[in-house]
Amino acid sequence: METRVLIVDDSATIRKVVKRIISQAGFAIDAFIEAHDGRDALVQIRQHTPSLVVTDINMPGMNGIELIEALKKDPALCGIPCVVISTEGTQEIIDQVLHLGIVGFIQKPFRPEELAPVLAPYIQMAVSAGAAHTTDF
Amino acid sequence: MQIITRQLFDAVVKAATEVFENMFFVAIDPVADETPFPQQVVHAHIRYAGPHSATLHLYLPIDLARQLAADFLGEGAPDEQLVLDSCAEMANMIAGRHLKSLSLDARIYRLTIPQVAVELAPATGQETRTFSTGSHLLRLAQDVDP
Repeated sequence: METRVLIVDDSATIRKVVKRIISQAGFAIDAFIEAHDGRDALVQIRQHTPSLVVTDINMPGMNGIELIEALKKDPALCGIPCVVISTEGTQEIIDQVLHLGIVGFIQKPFRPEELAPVLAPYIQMAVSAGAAHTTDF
Repeated sequence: MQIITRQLFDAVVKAATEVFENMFFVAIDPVADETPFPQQVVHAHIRYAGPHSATLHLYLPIDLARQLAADFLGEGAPDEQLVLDSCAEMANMIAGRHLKSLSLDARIYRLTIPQVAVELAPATGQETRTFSTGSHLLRLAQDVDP
């Protein structure tokens, strides 16, 4: 089972930077998938079943909160861990997404070294799950 | 400039300083607004609304925009669309950082999607400040809704 990370942000810059930070942290990621808004992300998630979703909140069309709500309502997708990276940092927003069950919140601007430790446990779980799957027969 | 507006702009400047230092590893130092500024710039702007509403403007000479984008992305020469996108994201992060400093009393501010374009640099106004990165200039401005 591949370890796939979906990065959701309307900014191509942020998608590239997050991908670079994760890659440089040495995680064994088989594939990065990108989406430019929540609706695009849902299509990608249903097609690729990522191990982890990293999403912005403030996006045109379907925003990050709406994306997470859609995932949590779907029994097939509700177990995918979601981390939010966003400029939205008011306590109301943080409480709202935590209540939805996200596993991490990083506010922009962030230092690159802040990102990897937040994502590490979920990527490592996905890598371990993939390794266990390949040894099962 | 009214005192409250000036205080708000001081907070914007503080946010911008943090963003440039933490995300782009660039220190910005204030210089006189009369310092000659390039004619053609990348103009990124973003509006926020809440207990008060305003639009933040970021003006970057094209060379500086390209350099910052390349450094941020870790790419040698990003294409123009990616450079503009990076500048929009800079404005987004500055506004977000600024709003976080305003939201201590738990009132809600909301950000719009940033806009960006290559334009002629506008004249300086009351709520404008010019900064130097050491090799380039950049300018911040703010329009607070009445």
